[in-house]
Amino acid sequence: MSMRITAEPVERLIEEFSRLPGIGPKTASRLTFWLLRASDDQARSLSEALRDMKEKIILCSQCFNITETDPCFICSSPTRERSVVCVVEEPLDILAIERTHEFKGLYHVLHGRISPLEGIRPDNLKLRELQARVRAGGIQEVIIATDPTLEGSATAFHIARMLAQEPVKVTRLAHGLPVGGDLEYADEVTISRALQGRQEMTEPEPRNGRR
Amino acid sequence: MHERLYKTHAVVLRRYDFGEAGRQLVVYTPNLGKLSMIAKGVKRVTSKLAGHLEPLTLSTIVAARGRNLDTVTQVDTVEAFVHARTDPDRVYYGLLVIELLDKLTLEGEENRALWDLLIQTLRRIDAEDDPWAAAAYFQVRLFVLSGYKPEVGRCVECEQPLEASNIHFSPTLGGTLCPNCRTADTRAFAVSANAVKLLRLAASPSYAAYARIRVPVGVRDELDAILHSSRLSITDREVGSATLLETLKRSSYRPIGGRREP
Ligand SMILES: [Zn+2]
Ligand SMILES: [Zn+2]
Repeated sequence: MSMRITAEPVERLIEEFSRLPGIGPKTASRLTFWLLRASDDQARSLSEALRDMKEKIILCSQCFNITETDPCFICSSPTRERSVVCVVEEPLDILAIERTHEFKGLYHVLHGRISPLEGIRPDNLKLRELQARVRAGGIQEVIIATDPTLEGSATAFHIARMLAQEPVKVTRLAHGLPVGGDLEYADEVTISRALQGRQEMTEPEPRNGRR
Repeated sequence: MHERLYKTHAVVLRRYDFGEAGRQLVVYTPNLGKLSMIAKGVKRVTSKLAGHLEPLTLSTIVAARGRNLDTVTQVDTVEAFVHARTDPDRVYYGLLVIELLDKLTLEGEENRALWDLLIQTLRRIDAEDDPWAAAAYFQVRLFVLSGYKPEVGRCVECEQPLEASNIHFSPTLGGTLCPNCRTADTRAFAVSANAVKLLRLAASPSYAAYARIRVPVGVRDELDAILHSSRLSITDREVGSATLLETLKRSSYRPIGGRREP
């Protein structure tokens, strides 16, 4: 028997927060009681931000990234290379890649990975859409950037097979040893991939032309 | 202090996100059966735990007892089963194995025979030419070891010995039916004597005898149908990996699993 310890609207908010990923009942209560003491403006601004996010955000019809405009700012940018498409699991992965400023091509967001244990099958992802994009022409390389997990690599292989008959080059991000990691702690799959993806070491370019 | 820590072999069956960059794991162990534990920070690329806690890996885990859930403090890979995890023709058979094991076990019930079967099956799926055979054997043995032993020498209803033809399999009754009793289960379907023989061999503890049999494609499909209907009848819902294997088998761009078509 659980006793009702506080007013119904407060309980309801605690419950809503508890459903969010990474938030347990304690954090949910802390957030709720912080908001209870916050100003009306603060609370209203939060609720408006939530509503706007749900009402104004759509999926880009080309790459399926989250966006306010369709096509999204990446797909509509004149400076992006249109012949290279990087396939990611989630919109957040785009942010991570964009932060490196290394990639100038376009994206394709799958919205998940093949995961039979979670009931996610190939047809639940934007895979057919990827195939259609490739078949529409103009794409020369598809870079698969799914997570280095069991499900991420199963998805990568699935895509590679799906596109095997298409005239595109399919590559996958090299999953080497993490920066700051220690070889001693690396698992076998990481080490074998790092070996496969090894690169030739050349002498560093001399600076200022000095020999 | 030290009695809080314990060490066990483990295979991850399932994992979900937990807290910031952490995961809750459901693992299967030789002496503690199935249990849940927490691994903190494993989603970070720099985590020392991460690569050792993927499904289809045999690891040694050191865990600290907690009030609710235990926490992984150290982990090392014992056997990586690299092919089972990375070969697209093998990985879904491996996932089918752990998914079904998860469905048919309860937390905290140890079953050493089931553990041995799991590890042997992962080795077979990793190394043998045909991952289908190992996965099918695993399923039948799992049914046997969890109390769903299929009745195959005789009719499950009237207990009469079976003739060589006109045999039906009843997923609901969990066994074969003679022509007189075939109406005992409306879901019963016809099976060949060869499929019944294969099922009987798969139910026995000797993998060698089962693996020696050369299975024609038709009989393989029959055993698949028997396994599919049995999974449905035992777990109420088909497991995700099996549905996926079925979809991939039918998909146009590449036959998957078992023999390659020319
Ligand atoms: Zn876009
Ligand atoms: Zn009978």
